[in-house]
Amino acid sequence: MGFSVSGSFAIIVLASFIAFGTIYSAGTNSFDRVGDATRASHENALAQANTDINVTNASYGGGVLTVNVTNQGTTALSVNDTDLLVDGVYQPPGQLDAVSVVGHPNSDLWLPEDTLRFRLTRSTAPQRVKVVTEHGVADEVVVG
Amino acid sequence: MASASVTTLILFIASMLVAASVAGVLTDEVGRLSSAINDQGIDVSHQVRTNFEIISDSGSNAVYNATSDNVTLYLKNTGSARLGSDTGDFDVILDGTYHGGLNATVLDGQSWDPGVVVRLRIYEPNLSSGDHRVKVIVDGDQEVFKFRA
Repeated sequence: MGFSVSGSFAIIVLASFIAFGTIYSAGTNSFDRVGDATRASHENALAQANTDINVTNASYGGGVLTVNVTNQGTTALSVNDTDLLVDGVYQPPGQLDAVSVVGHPNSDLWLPEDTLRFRLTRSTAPQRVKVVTEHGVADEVVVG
Repeated sequence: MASASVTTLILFIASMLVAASVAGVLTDEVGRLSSAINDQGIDVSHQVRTNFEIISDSGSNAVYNATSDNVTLYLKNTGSARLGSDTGDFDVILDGTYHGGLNATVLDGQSWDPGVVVRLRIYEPNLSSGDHRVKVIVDGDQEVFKFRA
């Protein structure tokens, strides 16, 4: 009787160790995953708060719409992730004549105080343009 | 004396079997619980990473098209996770009414990755002129857009 009690206890203790190990690793994995996601979310929020743009000029002439936007924030933005809406209609990057940082035509970095220029050939004069950055921060103006 | 040994042996075997059964059930159930915790962690982290913005120009006339009876919204993925771009991934409530007639298209990519824009068309025939409000919900994140038809 004595040995059966000890044996049973040993089996149950061993199973408890295995169970604890399993649930501990699952718990720490989940905790780490959620922690990483929270950190990424906070960094995005901080970058969004530090982002500011200003459409300094939007003009239409000779069938070409030209939009100049200045990065007035403190974050480095991406040219490829910046979007243009003309009269509320999204302009796919492939349909733009050109979109580049003034002075750095091959760079994807739109740094603070840099000016980003869009050029788009259109048959009709647009009324308003809106520029949206990768963080959702946007500015819009009436075309002059 | 021999019968006492046999009895002891039988009781010993029975107690080992019971202990092994308990141990097996314990490890099985904890394994299931661990899988559930893992799945929950994946879901929660995806929800935390999910963020999108409706970037449509509410002041333009391009939001509602009376000819095609469509409300067109542009949604930009501003989070850090890839989002689903099938029509079933969007829940749309227009002026308090749930809408199922959706058409979603990824505009500048193959999938709705961070930085990519999706065009969402909501079929709404005979939308009255005046103020309207649409709420879009994706993976727990919700955005509200107000416009004038």
